[in-house]
Amino acid sequence: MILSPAERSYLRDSLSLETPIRPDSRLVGQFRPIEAVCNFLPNFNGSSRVRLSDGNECITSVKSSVVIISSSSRDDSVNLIDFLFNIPGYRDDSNLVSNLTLTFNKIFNNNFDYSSLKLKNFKNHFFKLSIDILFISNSSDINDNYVPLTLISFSSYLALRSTRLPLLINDLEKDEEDLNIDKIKTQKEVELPMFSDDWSDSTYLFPTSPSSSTANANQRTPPLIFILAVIDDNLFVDPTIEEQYVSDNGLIVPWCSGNIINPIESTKLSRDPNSDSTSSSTVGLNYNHLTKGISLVKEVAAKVASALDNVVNTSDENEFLNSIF
Amino acid sequence: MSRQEIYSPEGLRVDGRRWNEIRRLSCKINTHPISCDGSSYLQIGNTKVMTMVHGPIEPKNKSSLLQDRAYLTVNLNIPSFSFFNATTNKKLSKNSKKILELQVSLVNIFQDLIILKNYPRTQIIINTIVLNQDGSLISSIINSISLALIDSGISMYDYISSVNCGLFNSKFPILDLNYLEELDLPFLTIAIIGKSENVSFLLLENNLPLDALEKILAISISGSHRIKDLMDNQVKKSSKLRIKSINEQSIN
Repeated sequence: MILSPAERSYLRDSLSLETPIRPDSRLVGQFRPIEAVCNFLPNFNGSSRVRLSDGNECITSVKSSVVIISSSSRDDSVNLIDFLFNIPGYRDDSNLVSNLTLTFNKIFNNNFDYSSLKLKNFKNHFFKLSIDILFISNSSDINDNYVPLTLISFSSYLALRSTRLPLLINDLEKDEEDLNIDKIKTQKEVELPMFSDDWSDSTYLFPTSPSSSTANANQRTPPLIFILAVIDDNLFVDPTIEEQYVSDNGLIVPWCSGNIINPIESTKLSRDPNSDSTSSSTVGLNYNHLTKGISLVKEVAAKVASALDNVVNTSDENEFLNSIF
Repeated sequence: MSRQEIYSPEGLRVDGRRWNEIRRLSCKINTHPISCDGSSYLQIGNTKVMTMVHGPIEPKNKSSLLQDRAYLTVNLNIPSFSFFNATTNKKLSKNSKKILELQVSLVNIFQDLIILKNYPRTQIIINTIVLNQDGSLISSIINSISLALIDSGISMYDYISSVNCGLFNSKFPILDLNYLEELDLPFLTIAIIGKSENVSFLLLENNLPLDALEKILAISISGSHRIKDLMDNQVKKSSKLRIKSINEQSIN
């Protein structure tokens, strides 16, 4: 998409006002409407599909497998969450795909509570989550700079939220006999984990409390990633492609369980196809931008999370339809 | 799985169907009204396929410009998560021979079906995404593309409907195989134009006794006709809905 100079300056001016006016008359912290479903792939532990009104959509699936990690080798190099991006039209080793994989792997593995993936009563057995993301774009607008990170992050949040893990059955009886702990331990070393065949026994990876309210900040959630466009002194959540083109800079702010988490990164959103890279007009960030951005994300994130949780809760009812339309 | 379980002496299959029954087919057209010109979603059993058609559009590069007819491209996207027993992120290469071969056959099928001479100097791009696989993959892809093309309004001679059919114990034909049955039985995939008996595509990757072929073809053709009817119903239903909504809009 190419904006004319007149369009550019009009957009920029209206967005850098003290009370900014966005082209679609959204508020600063307002998102575009999305359409979301989850749990529609029967072969997977969790799945989701999120569609934006501009036609971009993202399908995410989560598959778990059991891996054995010996305690000696358990360090930062072991990732229990593995992202795989599939973007039609882009090679796996393209900049876009590898950047996305890196960002998501980093944010999710740094901020994931691995203890929830550990198999109960097993020393070295863990669930490993393979998260496949298929991003379908209707236009050629996506490039290395324009990435609908927000959409992908919503989709992976939903998929993880709807992920269910099978019930372990071979430790149930042994829980009671805590007497010979040493004996059990040695047994467990050789024993293989067994899971219940009954899928209705499975438990959510992220258990939802019955009164899931926004106030319940202690509840564990998967990370959400927000992308903010910086225009003059203003910051905007969920920028449209036009807003990204006129932006000075971009900010990636991850959020998890009520807190902002690291790493907060700046990213360049505005690669104007008109201008060549040398005459780039990227402006640096200042302290105000950061504080403003963090408070903005804190404000909206809990609402977003609870809205997405609602999707998970309601789609459980029609789970057996298994259709996304 | 032993052969006995595939087809029980009482004439029931793994999922409780009879030999000539297809799985539950549900389809929808115009699922992506914003992102493309024609789209469809087809689900037969647990196999789910989504197709988007772009075009006729101006060709992106000169090499795909033909003076007398449209240039047809089929992109097949089978993500790793679609596989029946996908355990880890194992990616099927986009350029794997199987997919390339399939894309070529799909282009060949639809080249003859679409009236390409109506759209000279243009390109028609078909993108198909497989969301979930549980047998009869190729036939679902063909059915889904057929629906998406109808939705896009590109002129075609007729529907094309496809089904696969296997042979149990070298004697009994079995229609519309699921993944487990495909593992054990020799089967062929067939595509039929409209309500005719014209076979436009036939794929057989295993061995079948020649004398059984006629039986299999007969049951596949009637299965394809059944699928054609189901798709036709859906198209008519959604067309009626669309006309209704257009009328309502014009009244308002």
